[in-house]
Amino acid sequence: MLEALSQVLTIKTILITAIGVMGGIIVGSIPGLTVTMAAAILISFTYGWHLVEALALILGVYAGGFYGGSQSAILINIPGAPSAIATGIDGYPLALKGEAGEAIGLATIESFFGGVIGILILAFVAPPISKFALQFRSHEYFLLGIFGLTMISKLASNSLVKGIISACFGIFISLIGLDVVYGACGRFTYGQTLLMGGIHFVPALIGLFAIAEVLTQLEKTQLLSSAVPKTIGKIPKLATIKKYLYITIRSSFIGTFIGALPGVGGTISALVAYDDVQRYVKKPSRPFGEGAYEGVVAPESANNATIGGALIPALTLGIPGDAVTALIIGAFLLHGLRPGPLLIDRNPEIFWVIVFIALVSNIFLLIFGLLYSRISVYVITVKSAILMPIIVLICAIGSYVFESNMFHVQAMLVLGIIGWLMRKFDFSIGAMVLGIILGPIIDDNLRRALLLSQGNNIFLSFLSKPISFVLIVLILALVLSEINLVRRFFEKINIRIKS
Amino acid sequence: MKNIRNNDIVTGLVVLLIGIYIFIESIRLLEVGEYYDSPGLLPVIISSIIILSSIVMLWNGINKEKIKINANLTGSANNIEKKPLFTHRIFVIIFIIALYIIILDYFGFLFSSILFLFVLMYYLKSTTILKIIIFSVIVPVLIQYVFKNIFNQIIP
Repeated sequence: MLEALSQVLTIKTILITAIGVMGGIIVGSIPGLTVTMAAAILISFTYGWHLVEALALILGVYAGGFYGGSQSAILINIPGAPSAIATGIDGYPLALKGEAGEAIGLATIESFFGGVIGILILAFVAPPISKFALQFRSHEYFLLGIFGLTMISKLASNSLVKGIISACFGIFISLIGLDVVYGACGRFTYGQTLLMGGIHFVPALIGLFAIAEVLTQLEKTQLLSSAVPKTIGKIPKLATIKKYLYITIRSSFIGTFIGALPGVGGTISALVAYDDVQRYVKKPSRPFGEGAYEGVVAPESANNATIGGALIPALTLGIPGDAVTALIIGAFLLHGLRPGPLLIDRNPEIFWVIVFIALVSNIFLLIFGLLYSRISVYVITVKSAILMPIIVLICAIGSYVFESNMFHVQAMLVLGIIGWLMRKFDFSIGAMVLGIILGPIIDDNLRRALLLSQGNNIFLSFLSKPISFVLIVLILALVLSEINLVRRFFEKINIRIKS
Repeated sequence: MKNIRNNDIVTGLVVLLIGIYIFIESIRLLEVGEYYDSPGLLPVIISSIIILSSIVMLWNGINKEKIKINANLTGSANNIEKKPLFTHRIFVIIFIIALYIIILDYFGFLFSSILFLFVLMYYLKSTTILKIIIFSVIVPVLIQYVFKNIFNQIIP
């Protein structure tokens, strides 16, 4: 732990974290730019960096980005990030009442508290989970990958079927190239040398997240923003913070728990927290939807707490909790490390580095969040038609620089178009990305598991292991819960039990 | 629900065809090694799942279509304005981006990017012509400087 602290508390790392947080706040506050897009591009730029510095930048952007969306949500009722949708419901009415400064100040403080609570939960919960996961072998890793994909297909998609298709295509993309075991055998390479190296996940992620977003934005007619009031964030009084402390802690736990579910992310946690606070607070400061402070406290603490939650499965099991943690896993892979139980067991200092960087990020969030409100009016209103072409430039460079190969830039565009089409037809990009990241793990472990059983009693070899058995039950439960017949059957049982 | 059309039927068909293609290619890969450690094993499994899922999608799409037809017959359907799924604008944008990536290899980052930004911003009517020219020149120069001199990256 001390070694990790010494790595984090260097001037360079702190400066990079600060730049990351500021960049994340700016990106998060501009409607049309997403934290995922920024993180996808940063993965390739930080390729040659030391891992600690790369993590500092990406985690800084992550923390800042989740918060940044609240500024535009409060000031112009257009959330800069989807996770700020709930904040705008009461944040914007507060701005209309001339209390924008108070709203921004509250959002900033609550994001700080939420972020810190989420990270503290990560610090306590991750090591024991990781110890438990040390028992995992090939069978368990394979099923864990399938479970993660099934979960994200169900939760991050309007349709489980479309989610499964997206995930399968993601796995397919990860399999393109020379086979790891039979090196001379190319999978879907058609004799092309360029394809033998496979489709690298970095340009794939840049294409699927960034280019797809660019195309989606440019397709729309431009939104002209109304006049943005100049405002300065005001630090809430201690009495105000104490008054809403219970809501802060409760919403942070909600955010952390939901963040730990693969594929769910900050948007859902903020909305669930908002819904929760509406139900249990009987006498809010104002009616909800008309500028209730509780309506800002709950979603803002929940969405930043999601960060800690999303890092739990990512670091302990190698299953990302959301798109950005999928990219963080990508950063680890680029640096030759594989997140999972062995990471915390063999490189505990890396885990603590992440915890400390995340805590430092939240401190900078508190400082910059209030300062940024002075200039946010100039940044938020930048037109998409100016920004998006510049993003294309950055994406092209991002895909090129890490291996100096134009093929990656071409792959980025193709996947960007695929990502844009997927959005149009309601397919989950998150599921596909997770398929790309988990594909090699699923492939390796499936073959290893079957090799151990020499192809005999395959089902028995999976069912005879307790953890595998539980994972199989969970996967089946997720899939079967989608089938109407099964759902109606359980509803009837439920009604009978109640009567 | 966006665009209440036969999206599920069309996409279901496309996905089904792709799934069948992947399945056929994967079967050939199964010939390498034993089936349980063959490079074709996972591709066969996932292509089978894709095929099954696309059939379910097609089924759902056909059911939706039946409901729509019934609603039209009973006159209970609202007049839903059908927005075009694709516009001419997006294809032009994709074409400009594709062209940029092609010329990037031949003319290098600076020239290609200046040209790209100018053409795309002009097409999008982003701002005034003077500002477009200024952005088109300054942004690529800045990006090149930052990545070459500060990040020490090799750019095209």
